Amino acid sequence: MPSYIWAIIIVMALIVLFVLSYVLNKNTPKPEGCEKLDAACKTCPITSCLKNSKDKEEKE
Amino acid sequence: MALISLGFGAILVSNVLLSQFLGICSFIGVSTQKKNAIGMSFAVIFVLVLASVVTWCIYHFLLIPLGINYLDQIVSILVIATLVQFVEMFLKKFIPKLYEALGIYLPLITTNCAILGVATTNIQNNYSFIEAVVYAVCIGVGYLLVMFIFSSIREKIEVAPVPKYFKGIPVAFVLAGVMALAFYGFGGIF
Repeated sequence: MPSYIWAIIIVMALIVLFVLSYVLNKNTPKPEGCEKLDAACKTCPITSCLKNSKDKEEKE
Repeated sequence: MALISLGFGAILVSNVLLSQFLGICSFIGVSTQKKNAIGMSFAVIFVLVLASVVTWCIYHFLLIPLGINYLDQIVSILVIATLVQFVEMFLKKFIPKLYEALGIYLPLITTNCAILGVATTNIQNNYSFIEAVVYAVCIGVGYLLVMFIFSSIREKIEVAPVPKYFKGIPVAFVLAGVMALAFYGFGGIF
């Protein structure tokens, strides 16, 4: 089998694994008191982050 | 002896934060409290070692035999992203306190360039499996050491009479610069 086919298979397998882990993680319920963790953003210096800018807009 | 040299070199001389300047986001962001800094450091060590082991195995047992070693970066990124999802799930289930403490920074481990940097260095320097594990653990220990010292000093600086415009992140950067200079002094050891 040509090597590029293996490359596609491996990358696809890893993407599927990532999507699977992402879905599993999303479906895992958050512990009590951890529903809103955006408060930690106040110390984050990355202003280009979507979550951070949203947090600042809400404060304004 | 070579492993000891590699380990101490990774902790002190080529420290991931103060010498290689990788993972600066979490370094500044999570170091306001010692407790959070230590929690974050252990999460980073865990993901760092696991990611190094998995990427090393994939690279040497899969990518090289198949002649597709040019995929190392993509594979490393996907492995790290997947591992972080699993770590987050584990913390949600079993250590909710740490999950709460790490907050938004836990998903940020995915984009922590220190982890990708170590996985890439292992491959570039052609480390053996043992060397790769030792290097990853020691880079993690170096991260923990600096985070612990930095967060301890930042806790004191919070209550110190710092000029108004230097409060918070600016003084943290000054402090990071001074610490980097101090760590630069270890340069001649190994």
